[in-house]
Amino acid sequence: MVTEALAGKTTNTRGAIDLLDISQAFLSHGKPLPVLDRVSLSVQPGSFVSLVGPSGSGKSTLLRLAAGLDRPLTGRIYVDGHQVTGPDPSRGLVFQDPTLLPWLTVAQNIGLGPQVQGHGDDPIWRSRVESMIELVGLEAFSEALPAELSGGMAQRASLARALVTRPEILLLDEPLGKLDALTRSTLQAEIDQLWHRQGFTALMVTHDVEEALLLSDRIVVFSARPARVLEDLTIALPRPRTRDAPEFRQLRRDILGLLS
Amino acid sequence: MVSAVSAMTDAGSPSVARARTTRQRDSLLAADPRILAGLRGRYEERTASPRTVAVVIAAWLATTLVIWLVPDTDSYQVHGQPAVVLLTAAVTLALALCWLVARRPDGPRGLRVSRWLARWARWWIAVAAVTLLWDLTTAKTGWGKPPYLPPPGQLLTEAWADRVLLGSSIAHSAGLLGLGLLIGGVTGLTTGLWMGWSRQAGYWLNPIVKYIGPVPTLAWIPIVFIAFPNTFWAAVFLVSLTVWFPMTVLTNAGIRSVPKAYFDVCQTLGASPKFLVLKVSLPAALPNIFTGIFMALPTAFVTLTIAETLGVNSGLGWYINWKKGWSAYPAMYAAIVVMVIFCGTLLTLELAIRNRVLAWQKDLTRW
Repeated sequence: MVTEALAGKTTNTRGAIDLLDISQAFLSHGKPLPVLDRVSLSVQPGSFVSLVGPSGSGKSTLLRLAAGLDRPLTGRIYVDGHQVTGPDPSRGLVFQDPTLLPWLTVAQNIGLGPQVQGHGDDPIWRSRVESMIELVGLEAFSEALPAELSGGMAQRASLARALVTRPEILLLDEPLGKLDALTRSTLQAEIDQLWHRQGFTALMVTHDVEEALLLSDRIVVFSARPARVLEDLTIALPRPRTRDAPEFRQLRRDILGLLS
Repeated sequence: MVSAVSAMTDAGSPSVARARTTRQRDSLLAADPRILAGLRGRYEERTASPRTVAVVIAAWLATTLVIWLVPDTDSYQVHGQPAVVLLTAAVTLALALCWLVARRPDGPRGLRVSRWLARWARWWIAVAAVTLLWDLTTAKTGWGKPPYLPPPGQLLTEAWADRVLLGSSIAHSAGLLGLGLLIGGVTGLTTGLWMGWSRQAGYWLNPIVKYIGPVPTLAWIPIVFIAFPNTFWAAVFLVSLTVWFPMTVLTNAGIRSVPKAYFDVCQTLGASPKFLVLKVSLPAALPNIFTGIFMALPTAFVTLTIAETLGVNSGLGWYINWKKGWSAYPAMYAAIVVMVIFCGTLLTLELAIRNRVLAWQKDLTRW
C-alpha cells in the first residue's frame, strides 16, 4: 500500500521553509533563558524533515515560530519567500495532545478549518471533510464526542483536522509522543501515507530516533539548550523502511551517539 | 468485567468465536441476549414494580380517607378540610393514572413514566406521610396552637381567598427577578468576557469588580432607593448587581482557564478574533458560566426578598411581611410555600439546562 502511494506521490513546488538566524529566549524566574541560538534551516518543498534533540532544547519553540504563533527575538522566517508574521491556514499544526474542542463532534472538529474560513455549509467542503474522516478511518465515530475516543483515534482526528484544508506545510510537534507503541507504529505508517498522498512539506519534532528514521528525508540534530544545529543528516535509505536493515541500525546508533 | 464477558462468549456462542473482523464480533456480541440483559441490569434505570406503586397509591388513599372521614377536633375552628381532601384525592388519582400509563412500557412514554414512578416513589410516600401527620397534629387533635400552626386546609383556603393579591405578588416578584437576572446576567457575561479578552478592560474593571462586587446588598439600599426614580427599578438594580458579580467573576475565570492550545489550533486554521471569542472562549467557559448562574440565583432571591421587604410595596417578600403584620399566619405560610416552589423550580430548571448544554463534558457532575 505504501509503494502504491509512493508511485502516485504528488510533487510539490510550494511549501519551502527558510529559517534565518533565529534566536529566541524566555524570561524564567526573572532571568533570561536562551532557547535558540542563531539557528538557520532550509526545508525543501515536499520534503519530510525531523528535528531531534535533547528534551527542552527548543525544538518545539522553533515549530511554534514556524507556525507563526510566536515571534523570534532575532532572525526571520520565510515560507515560499514570504516572511511569516502570524499563523496561516497554509501551515497546519498537530500537537502532542490532540486538542480537539470537547464540545464539538469528531466531524465538526475535523471540519473546523472549513468552518472558520466560512465554507462550513459548502457541499464541496463537506464532502472533503467526509473523505478525510474516511481516510483516517473514523467513519464510525464521526458523530462521537472527543471524550469517547481513544488516544490514537483522537490523534487521527487531530491529523485529519490539520490536513483537511490541504495545507502546504504540516508542522508536527511530537505528534505520537503520548501513544502506546502499537498505536504509534500504526500511525507512523499512516502519516507516511498521508505525506505521500498529499505531498505537503512536513516538519516534525520527535524524541523517537526510529520514528525520525522511518519517516524523514532529513534529520536535523539539535544540541542541548540553547539549541544550535549539531548535525544535518540526509537520510537516503530506500522506502518503505524497515527497522532491521543494517544501515537503519547504523544511523540510529550514530544519531543516539550525537544526542548523548 | 472483561473476564466475565470472555467467559460468556467462550461458553455460549461458537459463531462469535468464528467471526473474523472486530465489527462482526461487535455486532454478534451486541445481539447476545445474555449480554443485553446484563447491560440492561447495569446501566438502565429500574422501572416501577407493581408492589411499589401499590404502596404509593395506598399511602395517598389512606391519607385522603383519614383526613376526610376521621372527625376534626372542636377545640378550635377548623375549616378548609374539603380542600385538602380534594387535593389529596387528586394526587391519588393522578398517581393511579400514571400507573395505568406505566403498565404499558412498550411505548417510550410508558417507560419514562414507569422510571419516574420508581425514582420518586419513596418521596411520594414521604409527602403523604407528612401531610397526614400535619393534619393529625392540627385539625384532628388540636395539638398545634391555632394561629402559629394552622391545619393544611386553612393554608389552601386562605391562599385561595387572597388569590388576586397573592397572584399579583408572584407576578411582581417574577418580573423583578426576571429583569434583574437578565440585566445582571448579560452585563456580567459581557464584563467577564471583555475582561478576559482586553488588557485595557482588565486594568480598569478588575479593581471595580473586586471592590464593588462583595459589598452586601443591604449597604446599597439607602443610596439606591434615593438614586432611582422608583422603588421597582431600584430593586431591579440591586438584583442585577448581585447577579452581575458572580457572573463576571466566573465568566472571567472560565475565559482565562481555556487551554491556550485551543487558540493556537484555531488560529492556525485561520480563525478570526470574533471566532475565538464566540466559538472557542465562550463554549469553553460555559461550565464556569453555569456555576456563575447557579451561585447568582440564591443571592438574587435574597436580594429580591430584602428589597421587597424594605422598599418595594409589592411582591412575595412584601406579602409575607404584610400578612405577618396582620397575624394572618396561614396566608403567610402559603406565601412561603409558594416562594419555596418558585425558587426551587428556577434552580432545578437552571440545572436541567446545564446538564443538557454541558453533556459534552467528560465526567459532568449531574445535579
